[in-house]
Amino acid sequence: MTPAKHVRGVEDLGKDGILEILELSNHFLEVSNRRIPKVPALRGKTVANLFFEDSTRTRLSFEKAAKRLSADVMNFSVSSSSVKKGESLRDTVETISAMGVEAIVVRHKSVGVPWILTQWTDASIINAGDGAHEHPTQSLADCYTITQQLGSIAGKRIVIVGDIKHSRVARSNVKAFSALGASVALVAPPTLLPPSIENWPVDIIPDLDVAIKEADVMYLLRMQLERQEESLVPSLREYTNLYGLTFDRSKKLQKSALVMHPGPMNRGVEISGNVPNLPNAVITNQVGNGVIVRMAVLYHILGSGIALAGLSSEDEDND
Amino acid sequence: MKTMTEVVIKGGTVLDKTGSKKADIAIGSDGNIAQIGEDIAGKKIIDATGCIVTSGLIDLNSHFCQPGDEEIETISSGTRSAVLGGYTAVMLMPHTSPTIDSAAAVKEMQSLRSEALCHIEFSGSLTVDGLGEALSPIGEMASLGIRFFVHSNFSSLDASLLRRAMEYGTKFDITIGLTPFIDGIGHMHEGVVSSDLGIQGIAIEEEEILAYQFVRMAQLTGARLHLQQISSPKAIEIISAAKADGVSITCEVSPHHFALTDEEVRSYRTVYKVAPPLRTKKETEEIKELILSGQVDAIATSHSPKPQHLIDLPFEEAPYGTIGLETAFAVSATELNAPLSEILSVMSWVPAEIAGLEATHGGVLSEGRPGNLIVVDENKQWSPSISEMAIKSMDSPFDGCQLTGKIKDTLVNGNVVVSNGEVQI
Repeated sequence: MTPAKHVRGVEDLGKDGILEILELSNHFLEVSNRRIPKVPALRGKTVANLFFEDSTRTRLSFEKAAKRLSADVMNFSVSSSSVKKGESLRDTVETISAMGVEAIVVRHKSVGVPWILTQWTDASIINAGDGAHEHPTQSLADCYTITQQLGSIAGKRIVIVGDIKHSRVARSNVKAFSALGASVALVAPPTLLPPSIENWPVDIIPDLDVAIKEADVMYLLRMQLERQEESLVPSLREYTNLYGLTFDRSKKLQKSALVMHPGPMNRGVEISGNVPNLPNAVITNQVGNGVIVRMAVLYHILGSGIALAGLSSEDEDND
Repeated sequence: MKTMTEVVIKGGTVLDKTGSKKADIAIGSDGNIAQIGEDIAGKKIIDATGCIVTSGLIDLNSHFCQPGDEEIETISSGTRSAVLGGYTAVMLMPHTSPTIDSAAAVKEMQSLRSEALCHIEFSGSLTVDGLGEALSPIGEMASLGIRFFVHSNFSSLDASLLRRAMEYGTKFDITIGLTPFIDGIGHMHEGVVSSDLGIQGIAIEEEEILAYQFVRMAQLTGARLHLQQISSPKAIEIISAAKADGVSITCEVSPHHFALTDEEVRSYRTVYKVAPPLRTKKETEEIKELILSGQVDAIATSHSPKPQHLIDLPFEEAPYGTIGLETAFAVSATELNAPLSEILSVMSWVPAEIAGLEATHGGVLSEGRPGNLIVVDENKQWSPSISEMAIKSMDSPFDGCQLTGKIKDTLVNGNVVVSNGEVQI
């Protein structure tokens, strides 16, 4: 297939694109396990990390992915206050673009920013999270993790629990999981479900204790502490009782069921302190795979024409 | 008995409230209609062959940003757009800087009339600074001719203050214009699209509840109300029921609320961020039916230009507002696909009455009335282009749309201000 120009949302890739990224990820997993986990695939290309919202984890993951491919990396952390000082989003992007970059990885608190940036730059845009909308590379890491652990995603029951309404991870994952043939169920307090999701390819299950028994994957979302202040839930304690994966509740999981979380976790809120240490909790695998799939995404977008089979690690003196 | 005729509009079909007939219209040197008849000769001829000649349009809801934000729009640039769109009078909203909430501010606005290409009417802010905290000096402003007082942000006006405003206003011959919209945490219509995009929604029920509240308060106080920018068919039904109940109330809708839907927001273009928000296909279809069944009194643009740097923003960060004066007629004609008289009723005849301008605008064309006229080419197919608009703002939701029906000429007080689609001044 023709490589995507951008990865702004899951739909930029589609089912075939996701499968291609997952296939590429196998190669980059192998690269990452080498003594020198670095290949010259993107030598001479520049990737700019443009983070308008603090996210050290995602930025580091993208940075590591780009460096393993020998791309040059520019990091711009733009606090929202500098926009108030007068520099607009457009000015920032046109400035970075003028310096010469092949790809811009963008994180922004507002929905749609990766799409509107394409008006102002010819660079490829990779979405590292836009508001409550999409986070496609998290989704790819999750798909890769499930495929690694369970062999495939098709036919699996994936239960996503928590603040669906405000979650970009949930929106991207519903699209990606269902594109790959999973059956997705959502469990959330009514106040944390989007108001009109009758067209989403999901089942809504009101009771976590019912959903948990069906789950091949139990995917927990981060519960933002401010949701309590907004009266979206009466208290975090009540949330944990009804929607948290407590240690007792985790005993109802099928033996092979995976426990996943996009991080950062609120231990003791959506997940009990000791649940992440269970053998089927693959939360750190998700983080590691994040780097792998981001390598695959960067290679997919920027590395066309470079034969994958010929990717050999750089000599140490080249670094 | 013949007065000197300056301009003759020849060969068209004259249309007004009373009906239509083939006739020429001669404008006298005083700017008034001198004669309506056949084969009139004159110094300057406007060819209206195949066109409709009728009264100019009246907009009840425009924002020209002067004083305060002249970089964005001025009385001069705004009225250029207005006359190109066939408007011979516009009612300006008071949300300028400073707010039009005092006699001094009214006088400043009135002094700007000389810069306008068409008649401009001013509304006053119902509360000081539009903040919803204290009543503006309604009586002082009314004594200067202000007949329309508005409030548009109901996150900041308590019901008791609104009741006092309505009660106090009954002493004067004024209309209170209210927009049933709360500027809260939402950015777009709450529904399928907002759920897909993860953008906080604004439930249509909010508007309906406020509309009902306003209707009941009008009933309680006897105030004359005009509800602005209605986007909910149910709210229009609530208003219709109130009219049947004897409440003195009218309402307006904006072309974008029946021509565009919330699906547009999937493009993230801020030109689609309006208050109240664009609704769904179901509402747009119902609103069109309600207009054609006579339940909507006026189409008003809510023309609100924005500078480029406020257009180039993420959707959630952008201010509300879009432009509309140059496209409102064509969009309405295209979308409603109804006899021109039905469109003129909601764009000229009834708005003239709501604005208190029926002596000079809208309604009936007869000898002696001011020459506030337009020549409309009903069948002209065209596509608006933002680069060709008079407007200072750089984006229009109808840029590039295929529309049917265009304003060919506009006369304000007998002066030809637009000829063949070009501003003459």
